[in-house]
Amino acid sequence: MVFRELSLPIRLLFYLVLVAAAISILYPLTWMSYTALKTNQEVMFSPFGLPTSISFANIAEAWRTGNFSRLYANSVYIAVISVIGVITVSTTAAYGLARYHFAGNRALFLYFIIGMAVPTQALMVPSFKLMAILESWAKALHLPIAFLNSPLAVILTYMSWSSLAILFIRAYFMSIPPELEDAARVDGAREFQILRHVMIPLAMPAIATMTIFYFVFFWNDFLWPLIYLQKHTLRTIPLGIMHFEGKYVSLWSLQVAALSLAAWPPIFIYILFHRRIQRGLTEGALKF
Amino acid sequence: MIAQMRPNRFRMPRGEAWRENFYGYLFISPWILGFLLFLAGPLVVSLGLIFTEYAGFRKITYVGLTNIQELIQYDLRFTGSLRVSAVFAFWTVSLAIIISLIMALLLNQRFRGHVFFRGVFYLPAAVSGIAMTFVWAAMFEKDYGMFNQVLRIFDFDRIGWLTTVEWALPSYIIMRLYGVGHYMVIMLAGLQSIPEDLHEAAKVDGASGLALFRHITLPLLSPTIFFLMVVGLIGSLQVFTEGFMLTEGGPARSTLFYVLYLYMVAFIERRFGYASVLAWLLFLIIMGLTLLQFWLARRWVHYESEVA
Repeated sequence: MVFRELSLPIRLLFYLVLVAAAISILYPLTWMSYTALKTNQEVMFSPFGLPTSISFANIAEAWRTGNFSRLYANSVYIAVISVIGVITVSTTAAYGLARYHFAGNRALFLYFIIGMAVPTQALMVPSFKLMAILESWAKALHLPIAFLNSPLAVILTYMSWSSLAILFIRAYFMSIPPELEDAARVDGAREFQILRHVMIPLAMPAIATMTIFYFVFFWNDFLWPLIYLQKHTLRTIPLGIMHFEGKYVSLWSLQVAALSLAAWPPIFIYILFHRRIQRGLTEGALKF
Repeated sequence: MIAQMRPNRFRMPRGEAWRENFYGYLFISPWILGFLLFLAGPLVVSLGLIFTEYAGFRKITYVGLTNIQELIQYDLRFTGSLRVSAVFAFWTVSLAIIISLIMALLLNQRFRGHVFFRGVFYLPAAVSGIAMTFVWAAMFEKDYGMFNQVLRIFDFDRIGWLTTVEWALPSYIIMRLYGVGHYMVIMLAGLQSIPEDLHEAAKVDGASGLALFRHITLPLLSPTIFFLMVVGLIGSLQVFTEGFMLTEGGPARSTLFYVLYLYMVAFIERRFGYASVLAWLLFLIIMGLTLLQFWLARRWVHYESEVA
């Protein structure tokens, strides 16, 4: 079917459907964003109307009362460290699996299947217990490391979810011709140098896709911080939002401002990288 | 040394077996360690907890098969939550596949602005999560919410979206379908992998647009559709955050999703043993679906190579 061969009314209908779909998708997000920029009076009198002027009063108020600087710091800390961890672990493992014929390489594929099939929610109870055990060991050895009520628990758990990234990066490594490594080896490069200076730069598209994907995922995750982090100073943005919404039930304008503060960073990342994310997901789905 | 090199070989040129093993294991060891400690370990521990009564303190009591017996014979909340999740999964996945197929067919045409529309349709996948859940709660609100405002324009009665038994679960299904762009992107990739000349050849033979879709596009797209079905099913069986935030299972347990019930048994009732039974059942269901996916995937690859 070639689009230009269609008659004008059909083409118009086609655009109409797409525009209607686009509006219904964009509406909730734009509503949230512009409501956050309205004044309280405007929110009261026309909750769904467009703002007549832009006011940052509610954003500033939400930032202050919700202690958003702390929430952001916690979320960024957990997401960044976890992403660095999971990508490092996955890239080295993917390289090992793609390029070395060690005993049991093929059999480890079953690990992937298990790793991807485990619904992480099913691990809530024993993971929580595991952190308590690690905490008691650290205490017994007088180590200054906390596992309970500590971002470390969340980070370690996130770092173990590497199956998707390994599968994805491994497939990419396998598409790189081995001559390049051989050449580097002739020049006297060692195994780690080859990974660091030859393979990683070449696999950057796959690694970048996974980095963005995991970052957005960790940023939005709610369950694991909920289980591990009880202290209010440790709250991540999703947890903070939950408590904020519970506390200011009647102050709609303030609530929406807080939601915008939480939703804007991933939207911004998406707008910056959406082509790469989509291309990456597409390739991954076809290779799978 | 150069003389020894065989460029097209996959293994290392100097590859003695011990080197392959040594570096192979060295590179995968951090992953294996994390996997054993934080994934396989907890999984095995929860298998053991199935046979115990345990509230998270020092005392663990061995109770044999009592937990499993309770699950099968007495637990109405369990059967209810299984049903809620199954209904939810069935409707979200089937509707998402139909909608995303239509959207992908539209976006597969070459027209002005298709990159823009694709970007917009995928956007919700990036912001799903807690903020979006609350935005939806505002949209569903009974007096001022957007949905009821629209209904009022057309002179319909207000609907208690999240507050009535008949509408609460459909509200979650609508909410979930907002992320349909994720399906669409993959569906679009599947469409684009269908070779153009197949369509051309059929057209020369005089096939109509509908016959083309029915006999060429749909069969060749079936691997993608099955992939999305399985992945979507797994994803929607794990739904938790929205239910936990908005209705906490109510009204009358009509939105008590399986994982939500699992969370409540574990962290509110503190019955870790019983929660482990629920967790393992979920694991087995999802494991089964994943194996099905791998098994089917192998068959499709075969199928495609036959066609080509």
